[in-house]
Amino acid sequence: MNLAHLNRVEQARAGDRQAFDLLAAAVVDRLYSVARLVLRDTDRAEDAVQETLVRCWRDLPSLRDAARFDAWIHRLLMHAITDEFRRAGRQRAMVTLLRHEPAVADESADVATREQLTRGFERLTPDHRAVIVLRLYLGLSLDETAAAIGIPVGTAKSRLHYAIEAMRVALEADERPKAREVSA
Amino acid sequence: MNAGPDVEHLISDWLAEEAPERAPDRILGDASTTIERTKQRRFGAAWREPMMLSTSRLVVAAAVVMAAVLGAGWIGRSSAGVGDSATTPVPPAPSGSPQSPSAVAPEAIPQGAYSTAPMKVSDIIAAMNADTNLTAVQRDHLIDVAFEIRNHTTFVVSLDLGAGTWAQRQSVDGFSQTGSGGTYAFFDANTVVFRQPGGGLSGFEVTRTQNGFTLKSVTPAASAEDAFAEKILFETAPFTLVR
Repeated sequence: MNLAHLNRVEQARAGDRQAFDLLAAAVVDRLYSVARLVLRDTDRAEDAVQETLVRCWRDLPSLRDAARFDAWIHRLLMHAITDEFRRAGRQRAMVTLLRHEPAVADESADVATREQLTRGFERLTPDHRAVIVLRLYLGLSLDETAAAIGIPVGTAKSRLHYAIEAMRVALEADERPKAREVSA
Repeated sequence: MNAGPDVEHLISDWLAEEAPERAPDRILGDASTTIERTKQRRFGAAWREPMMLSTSRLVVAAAVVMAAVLGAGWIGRSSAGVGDSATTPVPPAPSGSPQSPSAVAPEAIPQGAYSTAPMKVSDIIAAMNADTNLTAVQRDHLIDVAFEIRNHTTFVVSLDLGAGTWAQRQSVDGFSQTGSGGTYAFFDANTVVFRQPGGGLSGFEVTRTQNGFTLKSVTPAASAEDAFAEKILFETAPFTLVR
């Protein structure tokens, strides 16, 4: 965290709205990416990020160590994402499949892989999606991932292992019907 | 076959492709509109709707409100002498202002570092679950954001008073966590007023103990969540001088 960012956190914590607006602008893209990836739904991702920013403003005075801001706001985002899942009354997010149009024939393998990954990811629970996104997209350490979700490091590690295995199995399972079709 | 040992890289690359590059502008705009109407939370500092209060609490609460109305400068001006009963300017107590029968000393709390004994996290969570005013979302927020106690064992609150400033910290299993702070002054011999950046005021009735004090809020909290947080942070356990 650079000094300007740290200063903004401290100013916003003391009630400076202008500093908070700058802070929000600096983090909103990252928050939205994570929310969009985990929730797989544009509207709900927007709601989750808005809620995160409002909670951030409201609760910022309780953040003692400004250097922990990033970890703290990730935690707020995970709460907002969880709330979005709860609001929907189910643990599976609404699916918004992204359409990939293959431009040339030799890209079809990549397109197939992406679709397999999409299906595999959407079969994961929100908890497992979250750990995958924080670890493999944001590049957080296991400690940071655990802190963001509010779980012990060991739990984060086992969730990550399970989620990757589930993705691996999904990829393999998606290939089996094709093999059967060929052999039929 | 896609499922090889590099599946993590495959997932990582796919997430990077899937992630939107920019958030829609309306997120910041809509959040800003809500934030305009949202006060920053300072535990125990916000005022809530009028409620049933005992006469004594009502009188003290009214006095604290009066202090707030008279201006934030009061605490700032008096802060140099806070903690020193000989120099702390004490506004005249309102007529009929009650004195706690258990308050044993007319002087202010001495400056110093105070701490509670370790509280069990399981007791805090049990109290939280028993509080029917709290929603599930509020409980989660208290556990994970306000207190950061999930999967931990002990919780200690410390309060440093010195040179007119106060700093509250909480330690979870020995590690310092979030807290709050600001300036403080004594409204009268039994009432301390904490002020936080942004102007929030919290009044507490002080009862001196042998080596410390206990606090009891005289100002209403803004929500059930704030009320619970304030109760745990300031009222549940006595503060004992540690240095």
